[in-house]
Amino acid sequence: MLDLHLPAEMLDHVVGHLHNKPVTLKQCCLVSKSWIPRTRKHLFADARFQAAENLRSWRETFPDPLTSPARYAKTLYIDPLVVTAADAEVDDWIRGFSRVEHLVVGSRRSVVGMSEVSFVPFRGFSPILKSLRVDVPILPSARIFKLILSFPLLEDLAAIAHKTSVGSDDGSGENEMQAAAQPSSSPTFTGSLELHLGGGMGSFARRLLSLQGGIHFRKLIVTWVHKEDPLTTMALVEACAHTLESLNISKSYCTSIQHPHPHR
Amino acid sequence: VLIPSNPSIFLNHIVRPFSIRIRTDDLILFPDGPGSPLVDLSGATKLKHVVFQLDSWNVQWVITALQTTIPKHRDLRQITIDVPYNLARKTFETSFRQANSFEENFKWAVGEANCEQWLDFDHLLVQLWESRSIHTKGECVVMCFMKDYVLCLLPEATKKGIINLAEHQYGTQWI
Repeated sequence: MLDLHLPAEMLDHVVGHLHNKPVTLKQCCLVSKSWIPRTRKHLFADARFQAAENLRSWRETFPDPLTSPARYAKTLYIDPLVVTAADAEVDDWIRGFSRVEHLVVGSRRSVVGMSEVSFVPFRGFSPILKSLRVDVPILPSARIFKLILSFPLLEDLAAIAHKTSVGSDDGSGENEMQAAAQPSSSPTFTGSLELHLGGGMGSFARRLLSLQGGIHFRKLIVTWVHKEDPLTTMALVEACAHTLESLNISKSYCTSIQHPHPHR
Repeated sequence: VLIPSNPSIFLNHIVRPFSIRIRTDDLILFPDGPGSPLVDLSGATKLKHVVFQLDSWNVQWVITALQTTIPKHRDLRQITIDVPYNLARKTFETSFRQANSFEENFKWAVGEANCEQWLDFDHLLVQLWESRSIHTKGECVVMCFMKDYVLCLLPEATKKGIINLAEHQYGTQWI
């Protein structure tokens, strides 16, 4: 009935004030059909899949990705180990999250299994993705980088890991090289870059620095853990010299930087 | 290997612009010894805010980095020094072993050489403040129990009111 008397914008505004009250929002959702989209926008703004049950439950409740409330999600949290273990056909549901702007790929589980995780299904699932945060025990550098490059509008990037894998990454034999076409242009990278990599930032930074379009970050947050990290930081600062407005350097307290071995 | 284009840095040869020492040994990153890597910010002239989180009371690397911002960086508004909880706790645990005044104990725990570096840093903050039309403000982020002690390391900046003290806000992260 309210719909008849109040403009939609005003109703949106009223419901917007309830964005952090899920119980009330669920009640609002039952008012009328026209209220469903404006409440779902807030109810499903953050989607988290950090346990196998979460994903199973989601797929059972919303079997059709096209009609699921996934399209309301702005932030998506994924534990790649959970998702991969729970659903081999991960591709189906992830495509529904095509309007996600912030993706967090995180896991605090053991490093075992990270080498088996495939990021192919996640590539480019949301063409408007603006920020990506990867926080895992071991960073499969090459595969993560392919994931990064699949989001053309990416502005903010964070990579946090205790270790980084080296070389072509990790043995899962991923037919990923062929699975996804390489993008013609790299992301814009005009926001912030945060790097805290236990194995050193070098290899990851080199990939960034070799991008054709360059990097244009305005904010740089780095943690020095490895002896080469200061030099890597300087290279990043130089690459972003014309745009950099904020620089945050942390020296890891537990792992004080030591003298590099002399090159004889 | 990532090699910066700054002409003052070459493999195996370092010429630090504001140092009276010139080293030509193999210690590429650490012209001041352990814990003092060289960070050249001279090219990043749009910098507005820099934050240095310490792992020890050695601030030579901070001074070295800030010296490279003189005189081009006219937009630099704030310099933040972050003293993390672990460092603060360790310092306090060490200082309790002495039986002098709290301030003396604190300075003893920080170390004489480090205290001198902080005085240099103090002087640099004042210099940056006075040399620019848009003042560069200093900020120290510390644990609440350490606020009064840190000020004694920065006497001139404290006296001129150009250093702001902030407390650590340890929030929760996701996961």
